[in-house]
Order: sequence, then structure tokens, then C-alpha cells
Amino acid sequence: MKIFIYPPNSLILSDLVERFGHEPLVLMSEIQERVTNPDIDSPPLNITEKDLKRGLHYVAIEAPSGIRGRMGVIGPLIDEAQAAIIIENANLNFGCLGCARAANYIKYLIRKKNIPILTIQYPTD
Amino acid sequence: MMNSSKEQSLKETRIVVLSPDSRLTPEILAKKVIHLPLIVKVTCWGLILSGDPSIIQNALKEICPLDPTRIFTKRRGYPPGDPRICRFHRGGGPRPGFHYLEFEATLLPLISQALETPLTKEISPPPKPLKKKPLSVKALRKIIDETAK
Repeated sequence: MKIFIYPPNSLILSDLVERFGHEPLVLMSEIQERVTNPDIDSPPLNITEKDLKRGLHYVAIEAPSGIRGRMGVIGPLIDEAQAAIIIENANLNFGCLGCARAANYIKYLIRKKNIPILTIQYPTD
Repeated sequence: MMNSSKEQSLKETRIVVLSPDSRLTPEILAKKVIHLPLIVKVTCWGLILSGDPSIIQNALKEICPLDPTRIFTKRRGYPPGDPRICRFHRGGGPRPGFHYLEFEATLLPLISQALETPLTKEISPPPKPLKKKPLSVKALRKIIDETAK
């Protein structure tokens, strides 16, 4: 089963999903396609116009380019997902995942998809 | 350049992270897979393996049984030594993504502990929330009548 994980680059979630025999849908596979593609347009991350256009499938044109770019990369993973694991309020949501609006939108799209979702609050004690 | 990039896009890069409480060292893991046709890079937290996905799976089959609950793996986007993120080419400092990995590595002993002692008793699923029924016309009329008095 293809399982979308959120945060999508988590080592722990990705490993646990694979360990129990499923396929994690992770950000790294999408990034690999972009950084090792022969048509590198805008190094270092190679986020191209194509990604921004693809982002428009998920968000409106008025959305900031950061959200559009993120959705262009993460959106196709959500389309592929057959189930999802979401960690809410994770302390590890920083760096490229630090965009709160994109995070809300990702969670909204997953919930709209009507697939089995395991939502876990990040433990604090 | 074009061919090498195409070859690169067919390859997979995977990181192998050792939990801080593991008795193994990255060098011990590297010795197990050094004979395979892979690029193996030893780091302070584990290994970076790059090459054919099927060979990487074979490498993991050799590595993981050494300490199954304390060895964690995930895919990585960039190939090892990529000048775009390599510290050597960027003049030092942590590479992009390192802080995230460092943070998660501190949690790994807890995950190892959970994997070693799984909860044996079954937890019943949480009760389903009751579906809210729309207010009936009769009830609404009753409320209106009461407030109008």
C-alpha cells in the first residue's frame, strides 16, 4: 500500500512504513527526480516553471509562489496516496516544511481524499 | 554529461542512520557492504549508499540484521558528494537537511525501545463521534415559541 507520510521527509515515519511492508510516499523521491534530471533549469533545487504550473492544480494563482512550489512537488504524492499518516504539531516541522499554510493545505487535501488516515498528536511527555 | 545524469536518475541514494544507543559503528556497517558495486560513504551518523536500487536492497538485507531495531533507513534526494549540497564545496557548515536528521536521530532510541517491546494488549479504537442531527422543525418552532413568550 502506498502511504503518504506527513512530515513527508521524516526518517522515522519513512523507515517504519517500509519496515512493516508498505511503500512510503516521500519527498526525497520527488527531489531526486528534480536534482538528477538532465534538464536542470534552475539549480540548485531545480524547481521549474513546470512545478509552479503543476502547483496550480492544487492552489489558486493568488497563493504565494512558495505554496505553489511546495504543492507542485508534494501534490502528486497526495494524488498517489492510498492511506496517510499525519503527525500533528510535530516539533520536527521546520526547514522546508516550516510553511504553515502549505501544511494546512496538504492536510486538507488528504482529508478531502477520503482515504484511511492515522492522525497522531506529537507526544509531549 | 547528459548520459551520466540519466544514469544518475536511475540510481537511488539511501541513508542508513544508526541510533545513538547502538553498539555498532558506521565503519562496521561499511565493511559489510564495501564489496558491493555501490558508492558507500561513511558519515558520523551512518552511511550513504548510492547505486542500483536492487543492489541497495541487498546491502540493506546484509546491514539491517546486525541490529534490526537500531538501524533506520530512508531515501535521499541528492547523490553523495553532490556539489550543490556538499559541505566541502559550500565552504563548511551543515548541509541542507542535516538539522532535520540530527533532530530525528535524538528520537531514535525511543523508537528502538518501542520496536523492541511492542505493546501486547490490543487498544480498542476510539469511539466514533456521534453524528449531529439537524434541528427538527418542531423543535425549532418550540424554541421560537418559548423565546417569544
